[in-house]
Amino acid sequence: MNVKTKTSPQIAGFVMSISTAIICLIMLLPIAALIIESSSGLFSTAGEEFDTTFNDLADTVLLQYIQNSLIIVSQTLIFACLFAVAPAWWCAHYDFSGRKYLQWMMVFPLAIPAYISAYIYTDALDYAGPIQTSLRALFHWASPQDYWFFDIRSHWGASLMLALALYPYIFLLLRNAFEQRSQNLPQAAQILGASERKIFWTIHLPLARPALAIGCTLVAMEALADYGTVQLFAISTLTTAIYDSWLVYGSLASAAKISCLTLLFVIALVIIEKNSRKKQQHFDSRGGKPSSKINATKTKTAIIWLVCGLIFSLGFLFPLITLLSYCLDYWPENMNDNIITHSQSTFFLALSAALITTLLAILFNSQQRFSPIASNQAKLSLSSLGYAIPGTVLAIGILIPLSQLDIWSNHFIQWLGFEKVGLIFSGTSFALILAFVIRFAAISNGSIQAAYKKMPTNLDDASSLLKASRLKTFTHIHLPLMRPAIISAFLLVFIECVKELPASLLLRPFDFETLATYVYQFASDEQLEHAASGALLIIIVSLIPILLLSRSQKMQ
Amino acid sequence: MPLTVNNQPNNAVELVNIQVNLNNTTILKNLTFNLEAGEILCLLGPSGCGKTTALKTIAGLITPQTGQVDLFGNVVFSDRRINVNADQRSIGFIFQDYALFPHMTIEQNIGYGLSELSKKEKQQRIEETLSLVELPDTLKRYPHELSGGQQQRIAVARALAPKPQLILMDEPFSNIDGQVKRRMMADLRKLLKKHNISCIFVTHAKEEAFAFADKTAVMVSGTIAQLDSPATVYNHPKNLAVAEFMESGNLASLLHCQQVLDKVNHQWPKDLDNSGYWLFKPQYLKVTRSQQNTGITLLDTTYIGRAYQYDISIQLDKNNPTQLITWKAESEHPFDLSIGDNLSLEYSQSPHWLLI
Repeated sequence: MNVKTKTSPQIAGFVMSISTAIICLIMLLPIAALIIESSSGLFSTAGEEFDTTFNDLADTVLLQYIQNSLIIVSQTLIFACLFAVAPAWWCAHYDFSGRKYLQWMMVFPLAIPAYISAYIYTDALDYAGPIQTSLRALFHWASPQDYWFFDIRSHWGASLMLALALYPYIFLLLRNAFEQRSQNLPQAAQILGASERKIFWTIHLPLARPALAIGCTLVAMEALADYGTVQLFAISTLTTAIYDSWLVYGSLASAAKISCLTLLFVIALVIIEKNSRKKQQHFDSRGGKPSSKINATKTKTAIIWLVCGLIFSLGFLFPLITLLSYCLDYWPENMNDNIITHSQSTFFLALSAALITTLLAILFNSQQRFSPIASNQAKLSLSSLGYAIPGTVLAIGILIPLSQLDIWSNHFIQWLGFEKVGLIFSGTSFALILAFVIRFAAISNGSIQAAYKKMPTNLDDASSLLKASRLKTFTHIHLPLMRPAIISAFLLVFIECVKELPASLLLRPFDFETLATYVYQFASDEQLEHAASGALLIIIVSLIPILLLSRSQKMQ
Repeated sequence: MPLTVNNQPNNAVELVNIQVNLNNTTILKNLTFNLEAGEILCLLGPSGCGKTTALKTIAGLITPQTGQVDLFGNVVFSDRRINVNADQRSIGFIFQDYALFPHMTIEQNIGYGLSELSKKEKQQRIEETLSLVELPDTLKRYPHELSGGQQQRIAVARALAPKPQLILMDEPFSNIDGQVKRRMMADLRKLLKKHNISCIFVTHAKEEAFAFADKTAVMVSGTIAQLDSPATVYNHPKNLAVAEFMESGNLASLLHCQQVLDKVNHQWPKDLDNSGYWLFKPQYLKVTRSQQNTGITLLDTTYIGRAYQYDISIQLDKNNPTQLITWKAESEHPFDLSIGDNLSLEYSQSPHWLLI
């Protein structure tokens, strides 16, 4: 009995392969559009109006913008490491009363967008704020010349705000790296006569360098992509330049060029991170029990709680209490219909984007699972690229092709004899959902990919040998085993969409607000008090993944 | 279309010139062997020799570059022109880690491959199979609730449930220890024989081949170095690689042969070939203390259960004390010897002549 196997599963596989290739191309469209648009000046012909915005910026302030971006990124990294390294070590290495609570409390600041903290601290630390006012009253200072006070509206201030919101990335990764390290290595060092301090600097920290490198890269990328905080402090960076080029000067080409420049910085960060980890891969010491914790003395416990408590209070507690007090003080303004309307529209957008992103992640990953060939791996990797693109850059990259698509559609509809339909792609929620899907595909891909990696391929082989089709293997084996990963992928993308600001500011349709843009508008108008309930809602939603993470680690 | 068994075929499996390349490395090189229906064959060899690849190629989980695979007289693979999918080959497969679906109960696991049966028939088959592996009360339990041995038996039950004519097993006993392992091997062998199921299993432990297989194929670097009964492979290895892997005995290369022969008290054939190795079985080597300096020294004595084992060093060159080879001798009764004693050796059998 000879059976040829050019059967329906192979035809289905071919169709799937083509579909995923097309989706992948759509997801890469923004980058392609940016490159084409930014090089369009180079190819402009005589007689065509030449857009000089980028050249003007380059001749005047662009260098300053780049410098500002680099200063913000490096200072944020310094602060974030200061906030994260010691607490991560303490939580991983010592056992002390309340450690289980503290290690999660240290992650809570991740839920507070940096621009909200920035507003709150500006309000508290400004000349007219309660702290300076109290100090002046206490010491009888009459004017600003009588004393020096930290100026929050500065590069240092912006970096500090960003670091308070972003340090948990480094904290989480480092704590995990410290906890997973085999106890054999420090014990070997101890037997060789090394002190606890020496073991930390020569064994633990160098071995945790890959985790530190990833954490720092994440923080640097987020700091580079930040729009809200720097704009609030009137610091011009590459992201604000992109925003201004498009919305103030109306120059898409200039915005595209600055976007490409920003992308180069992102690529440089990724290369630095990869290189810094390359030599470390073989240091990963498997085997041996993970390090057991040492009981901290009472003094050490007090120091740990004091330092970590201060960071937690600055990063989470103070902004939260302030927002609650704003909310109570301005109750009627905070409980208006706008909040409900914007929450509904935000949740609809986030729900749609999360659903699409999760489905795509399942599609890409299952294809790679069933046919682990290079092209499928490439599709999976390329579809995750969007996460590295700052929101503002991505928004410009999406605007370019969608505007063109709108022009073509309107021409086509007119050609058919109908009236123009307007901006059906770039002027509707479609653009925003597309941006969310491209930006956050990496999150859902990562979640599903991790679930697949944990699932032995023997299960697929066993299923196949028991005469199950690929579809049956997928529905009966993969999907049930991936359920927690699917839920967490969906939730994580949903939450990121609710929080997202820079792309939403650029792509939201006319007269449309998401919770983030609504809150930011009030913050930039120095009226956050009136939108405190919206900010609280964002924070509550953002706390969900942290609670989920803590729950999953407890279960492990 | 599922595979049907041709009327009374002699061979359950026939592999001809199978070549498998993975990641630009040749894993199987012209692999050729067959298995008669109802026989149990062990693919034995060191890690990385291609045993599991051979098994997965037969199952259809790996597609070879060239060659032909026949199952019960049906061609299931032939140089890419024919390639029957794994789900159409009607093979039972037991994985090293058992690959039980962790989210399904035992009942669902066993019933997974029985979707062609009616609900009643399916239930009946599940219960029958569970009784066969003596675990009838585990229907509603999950794999993680069972011991390693029980999980192995469930894996066997799942593979047997669709009533395959051929079962493939990838190191099925590697996760089980001691007495449980021996009992399970005996039970499983009885079960396969009772139902006339052909079986190929993979292992790197020769003891498992001795206890379980009718035939043993020693694989070296992607090819079959020898296929015979376990006793023949052990006692009469065809070449050096098989002898070394099977630890068949002491080996002396022709280069050193003359020196060794001078020292071993035995009548040797005079017409020695120019190449090859002699194989000396430790149990036929008798060791006695010598008052002269023979160049043979006792290194160590170990009690190994069934006998005493003596590690001895033989100096090959009188003028060069560093040119040594180490042999083993075995005896049921202890010899009156101390470490460092000078020894003389007697060999009571004809040594086995090997080709390189």
